Amino acid sequence: MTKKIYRILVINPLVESTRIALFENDECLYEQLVVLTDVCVAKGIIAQRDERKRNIMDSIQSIGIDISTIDAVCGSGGLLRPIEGGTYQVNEQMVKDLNDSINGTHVSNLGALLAFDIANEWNVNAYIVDPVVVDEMLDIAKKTGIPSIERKSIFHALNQKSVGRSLASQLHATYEDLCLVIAHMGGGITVGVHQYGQVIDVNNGFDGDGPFSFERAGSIPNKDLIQLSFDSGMSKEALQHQLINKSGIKAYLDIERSADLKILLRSQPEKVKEVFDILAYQVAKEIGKMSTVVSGNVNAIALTGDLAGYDYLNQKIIEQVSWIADTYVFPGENVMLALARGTLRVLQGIEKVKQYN
Amino acid sequence: MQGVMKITANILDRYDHLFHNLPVGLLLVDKNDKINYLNKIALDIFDLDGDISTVSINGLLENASTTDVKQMHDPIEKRDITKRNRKQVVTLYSPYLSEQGELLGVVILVEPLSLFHERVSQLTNIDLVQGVLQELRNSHAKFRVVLVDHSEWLSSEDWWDELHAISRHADKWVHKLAEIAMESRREIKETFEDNKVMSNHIEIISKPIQKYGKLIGCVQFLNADKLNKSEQELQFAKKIIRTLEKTYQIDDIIGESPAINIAREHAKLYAKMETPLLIRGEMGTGKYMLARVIHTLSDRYSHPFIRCNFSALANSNNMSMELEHVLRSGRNGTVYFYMDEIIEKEKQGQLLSFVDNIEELRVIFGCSQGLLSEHWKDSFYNMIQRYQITLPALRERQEDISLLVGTLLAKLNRRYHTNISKIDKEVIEYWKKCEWPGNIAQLERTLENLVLEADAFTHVITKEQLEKDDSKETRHLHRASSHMPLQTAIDQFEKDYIMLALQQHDFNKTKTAKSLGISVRNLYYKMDKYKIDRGAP
Repeated sequence: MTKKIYRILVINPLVESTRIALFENDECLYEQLVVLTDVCVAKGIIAQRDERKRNIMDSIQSIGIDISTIDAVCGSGGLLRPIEGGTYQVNEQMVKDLNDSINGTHVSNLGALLAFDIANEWNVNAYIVDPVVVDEMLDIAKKTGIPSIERKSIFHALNQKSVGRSLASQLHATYEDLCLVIAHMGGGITVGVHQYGQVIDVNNGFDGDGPFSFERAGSIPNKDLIQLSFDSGMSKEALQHQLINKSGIKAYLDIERSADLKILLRSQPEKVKEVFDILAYQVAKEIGKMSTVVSGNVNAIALTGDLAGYDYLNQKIIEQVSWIADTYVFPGENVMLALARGTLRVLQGIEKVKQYN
Repeated sequence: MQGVMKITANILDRYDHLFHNLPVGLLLVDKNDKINYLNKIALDIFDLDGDISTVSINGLLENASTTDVKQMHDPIEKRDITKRNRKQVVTLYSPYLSEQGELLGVVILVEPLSLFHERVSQLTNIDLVQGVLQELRNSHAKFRVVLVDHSEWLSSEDWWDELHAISRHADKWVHKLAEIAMESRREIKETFEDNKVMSNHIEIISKPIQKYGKLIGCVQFLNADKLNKSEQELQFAKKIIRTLEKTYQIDDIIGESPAINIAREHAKLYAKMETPLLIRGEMGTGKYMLARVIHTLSDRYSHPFIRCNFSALANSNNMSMELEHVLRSGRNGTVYFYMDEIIEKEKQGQLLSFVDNIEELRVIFGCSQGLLSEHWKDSFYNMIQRYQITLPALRERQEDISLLVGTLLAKLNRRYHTNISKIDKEVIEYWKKCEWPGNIAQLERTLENLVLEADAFTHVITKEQLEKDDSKETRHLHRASSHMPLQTAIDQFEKDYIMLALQQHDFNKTKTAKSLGISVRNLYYKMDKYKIDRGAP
């Protein structure tokens, strides 16, 4: 007999805290930020594993949740080997890879580890859903003009896929039957083309491919970038920091936090709109570019992420891409819900769980 | 001043000039309390003109302590009042001894209190301390300072108002706490809970103050955290979650009667053990709750707690598979098997070998029936009855009824948004005499019915209301009214009828099912359908 209601604990480790949420199917019972001590933050990321685990378990117990009612634990996926999208059961191999940080150290690596540890105590399974390393890109899409350099698939897989599914259900279709172009506009911007459930091409926003974003530079002409790296006298790390954290909207408007943008839009709308115009142009162009990957057969376009909360920006993009397909807006991103839904699909047997090897 | 203690007559003659210029008053008193000598300052302090031939020390000071000094040969420092001009002075009495140690009289150093204060304020931080205390009194800090003689020395502005707002009986409690803290010389932290209204509870911390091992007084604080409304709301919300989730903690076991206290202490003790445990008690006494509490208290608390009806399990076709499932999902945790009927001896054997061979699970049994050894396999009987906790029936702990009613009422008030603050004493007394075959569960049902019947203006539940409700109970089989859909009416009847049958058979499911002509399984199904508590016997 299949259960009607599943309880899922979702864990999303952040730098100084761990966000946890308990879902009953896709309804959030409660969400909490479990803050770390300074001592723990100062430790290496993997060394925080035990304390974070204890904190999470304590907080759940202090709220009074009956842990025997929890059916699964889901963590945010970390920097694993490139894998196909979907929901994976956390296994020994995954734990080993994350522990060894085979693809880099990032706080999200703890997601699967914490889920695994906690699920083990409770005798249930641990899962991850669509980690950033999802790679479904076509071989041809990976090629560049220098044969030895290939493009990588690193993007907001979780949110893009989750929005893809929501959009599909809004269109009364299944995600796996549609061709969609989805633009995630947040701290970084990635525009992916989803063909029958696979993201066959996507710009690598993190490495400077595609439009600029709130804090990233986006594509810069090679010549100027080379010039900049030699002339500025900056170290490799400093230049990288400049391009990843101090460019884009931040540089144009001289602001620090995303909240400042909202304030500035109210006080100096003209100044902000000018930047939005440029951004809209670049995102629209990227959407157009991606549409050609599926020869223009796009069923729908979606705009998501924090920047999709700005109507002016959305409107500007829509004006330019409306000839391709209808555009839908899903502002913000809900990591916790996306993780819970991914897990739920597996628990309900809608989707098959994948194994990481 | 201590250095002048052993002045002899010779020295006195030699340094007459020096003594006259001392900044403190100096008196020499002989063995008969006659004044032998006074310096200038002393003359001023006592307002004398110089003729001291007829003056004795008792004529100068109220309650002079010369006699004590002469007897003990020890110096004494104290506050005195001068007889003539009622001046407050600080005096140091010191025995006046010859070189052979023979007592010649008493040396007294006198200083006006005002001057003494000035010196203290110059040499110590006393002004600062007083300033800070004054500020504290006016601030939001809630505190009270008591001296050794239990008199109140200082309290923050609204200390008593605050307490009286919570309960009129708080005074006695606060005094008692100070007394205990001083007697035991330990910090004590206690929460005052007004049984009537759950949200009004406060915590007071009482700390004895000691200096060099000597008790000086006691300071009491209202714990601000506990006063914080939102904190209280959170605690209450957690309590509700615990109830909904059935993740009980030791504080959730209500009652002060000896029987329940013993059960609580047993729970704490057995929680740390790994051996199988039996919880006995009638239906509705809270066996399941206690099992959960034991799990929470144990080292297995972060692992699952599984509840399993053993009688149903024993009747299933594939018992070993079911047990395997229990083992898998409850690994490292606790499993609570409740048995509401006697099970076959063969099955007992199976269970015994299961329990014997698992180390990954802690097993707690719950049983509502009397344990007669002939119904059980010897080995099984020996295993389960070795460690047991007995939960008292409600009629055996009538004194807890008002406590229980208070807690249940607060819970029901929240649930139904009612505002019933009190149950009449008469009602409580009546209830104390009741049998309560369904125990706390029945008490809760009764209260729930009363709360549901009450309107928004009802604050107190009286005997009359109870009687009204009782008469309804007896008519409850005919409660269906014409504006009820047929199915609802049928369901209502079925629920009531099953309830009645259960009560008639003391909640024995087999007998009830037999009398109703249905299978036990069907009965369980119907009980679940109508949300009749399985009773976790």
